[in-house]
Amino acid sequence: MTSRTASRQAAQRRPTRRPLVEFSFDNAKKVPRRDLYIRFAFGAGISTAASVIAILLGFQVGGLLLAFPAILPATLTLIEQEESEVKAVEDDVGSVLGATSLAAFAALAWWLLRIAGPAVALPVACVGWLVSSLLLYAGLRAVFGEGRR
Amino acid sequence: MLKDAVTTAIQAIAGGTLVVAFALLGEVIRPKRLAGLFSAAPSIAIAGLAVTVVAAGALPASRTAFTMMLGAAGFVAFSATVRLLLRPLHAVLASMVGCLVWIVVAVGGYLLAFG
Repeated sequence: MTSRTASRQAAQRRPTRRPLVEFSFDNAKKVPRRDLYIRFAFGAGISTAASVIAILLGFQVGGLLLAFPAILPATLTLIEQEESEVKAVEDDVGSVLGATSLAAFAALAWWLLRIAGPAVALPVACVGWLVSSLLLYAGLRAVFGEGRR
Repeated sequence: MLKDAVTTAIQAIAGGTLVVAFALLGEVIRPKRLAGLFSAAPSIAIAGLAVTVVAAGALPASRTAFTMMLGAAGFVAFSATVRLLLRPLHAVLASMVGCLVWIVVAVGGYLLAFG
């Protein structure tokens, strides 16, 4: 066996390293409009409920609904029907991390709205959510691998 | 009354639009697990807090964000429950059980803290 053949075979055996994140903008174009209308309806419905409850029962009670899993049931159902159950499970694992970071978002917003005002509080809380989510994802990926694409 | 109706309508439109925007972001990104982060993005929270700030001020919005932490704890419990039940029960039934778990954690936590 020549050294060139041996190195080619070694390269084939080596697992291909995929990028951390891939963006496929064509996927967004393929989303059926019906799915987007469903998600809009869920989002608008929960926002309406949060607003009405805040008006009737106070801001504190309304705040609970700001972290209601509004679109996740619809998203999981659509993924399960149109793609696969395995992909729905993968999406749900990601949502556990996102939901954990939602608590960080709320804590930052609560603290900064008092001391720094809304112009600082809301953007910083959003960045906090993103950073926390990505750190949790990186930790999960380091321990358990990247999961399905 | 009219102000409340306008506030609710703006919050509904903003919430729905942000939900769709984050959903599209989730479609664009791979792996699926990373895309799943955006299923729990603060879409409704951004709309709700922004409208509350404009309509009532920063302190009421801060109180809203405080109880949102309990809602977020419920969301984590929801997602963990659905993760366990998705294979045996499928998405619709698993989500219904998850919503019950959200109510128990979020509303139960609220009643324990403020009731």
